[in-house]
Amino acid sequence: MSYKLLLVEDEASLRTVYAEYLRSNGFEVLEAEDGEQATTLVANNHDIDLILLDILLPKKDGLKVLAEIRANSEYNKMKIYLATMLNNDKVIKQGFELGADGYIIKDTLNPEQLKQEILAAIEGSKKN
Amino acid sequence: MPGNTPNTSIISLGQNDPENAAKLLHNVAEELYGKNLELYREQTRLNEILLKIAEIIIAIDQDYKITLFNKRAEETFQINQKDAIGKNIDEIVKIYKGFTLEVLSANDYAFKDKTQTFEHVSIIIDDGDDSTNNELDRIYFNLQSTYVDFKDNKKEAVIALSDITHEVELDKQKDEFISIASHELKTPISIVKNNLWMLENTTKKKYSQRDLKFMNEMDYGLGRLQNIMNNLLSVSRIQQGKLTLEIQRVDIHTLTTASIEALHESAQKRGLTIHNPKELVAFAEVDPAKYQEIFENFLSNAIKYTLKGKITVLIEPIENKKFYKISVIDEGPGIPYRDYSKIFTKFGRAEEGLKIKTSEGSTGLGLYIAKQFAKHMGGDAGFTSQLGKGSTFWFTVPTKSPLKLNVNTTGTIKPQA
Repeated sequence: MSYKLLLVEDEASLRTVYAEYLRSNGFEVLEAEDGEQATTLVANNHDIDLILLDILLPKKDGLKVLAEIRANSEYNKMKIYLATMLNNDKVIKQGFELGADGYIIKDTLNPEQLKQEILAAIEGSKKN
Repeated sequence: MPGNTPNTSIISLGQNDPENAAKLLHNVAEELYGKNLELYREQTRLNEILLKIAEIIIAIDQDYKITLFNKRAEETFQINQKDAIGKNIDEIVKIYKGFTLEVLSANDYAFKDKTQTFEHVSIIIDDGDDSTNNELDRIYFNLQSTYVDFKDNKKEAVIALSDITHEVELDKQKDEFISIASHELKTPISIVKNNLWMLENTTKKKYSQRDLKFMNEMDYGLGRLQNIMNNLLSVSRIQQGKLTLEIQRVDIHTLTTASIEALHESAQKRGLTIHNPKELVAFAEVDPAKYQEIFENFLSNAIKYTLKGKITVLIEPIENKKFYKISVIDEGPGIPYRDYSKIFTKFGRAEEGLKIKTSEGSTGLGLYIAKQFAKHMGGDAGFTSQLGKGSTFWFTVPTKSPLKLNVNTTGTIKPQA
């Protein structure tokens, strides 16, 4: 089956590369370029499997988006992974406290590795 | 001179020649008054200097009670000289070690045999603004304490604090700048790298060998750029005391052979062979990513500096299996004795190293970072070398980490259930 993803990333060039690669690998991909778009898309797509959420975002930052999504129990099933450039413990820890399921460090992954991480995150959790 | 005449002679003179004696006495009194005035002026002048000096100067008696509190101390600690004098110094002056909350008390620095120097102590200024959970506002000093012995069984300790806040701030700004700059640079590097990856891996077109070579070179250049960024970030984290580790119990033999595999090609290109460590089960408690960074740094240096021959990797338990020692033995030019002290310093490099063509690129930060990583994990790093024969770089990792273990899966951290 195909999984539904939401990529939240303000850097268009990074986002489109990921989106194209993931689509060509059978994922359904929604894209948001700021925090507000992200929450709107979530409200209209209750069947999202995983959100890849950048932290530094225009309009509404990633941690705020995360907190809002986690405040609504309807979205319990959505996996949320933080995507960051920095192995910055403070932000990641805050993210976990707010209910993130994991994180990836963007600049260490090529599109294929990103796909593998996403698959592991979604399918790993289904086995549990 | 009348001043030289002892009192007894004035008395004896007074009996014989009262008029002359009175005159003499008057002169003595005048002289004395003059000297006193001079003394008073000198004392006031010294006091004035001491009080107005740019350093904070505080003196205390043997009960740690304040006997002197200069103007700068008044300003800094927001307390009047009059109110400070006679009070215990630890009540009036709260000094912390570095940027910690560990208090430095008079006991630690006053009345020691030698002059005591504490660099980077701080005091916290309460600006009443608790709204932000930022770091506390501090002023930084170097503290020096010495004492004066007044012979009559009275001693006073003199404590001088010189303000180094400006230097500390500059240092912080430098580290922050490096953090932000490298973070900002990472995004465009990622963009180029990912787009290049797409070209190489998802395009239907068949590239010529020439095209592929160009793309490979681009990839290599980007990899180097990423390395430099990561090194700069690591150094700034080490400097800021913000290095974080994810300690796990892992088989370091597997980690090591995986790293050798990753660098195998670059060794082969230079006609070098790498001898793998003997099969053994070697569990240690390390941050796996940092472990590999140390090892790959040593191994890639060995590859870089060895022109021909072999590189041998050893893993052996030492000190009753308390540690594992990992060694990378090369047949390179060796390191001249005069360069020994430079090897693990920031930007340090041996002269032989400088002769290697610069296209190999290196920031001179790798070994510094490697040693810091090893130390932070509870081990150490070092080297031995013989000119013309080669060098051995080694590091140790503990089988039982002094740090807390994190239970993680690879690549991602699962939340605490």
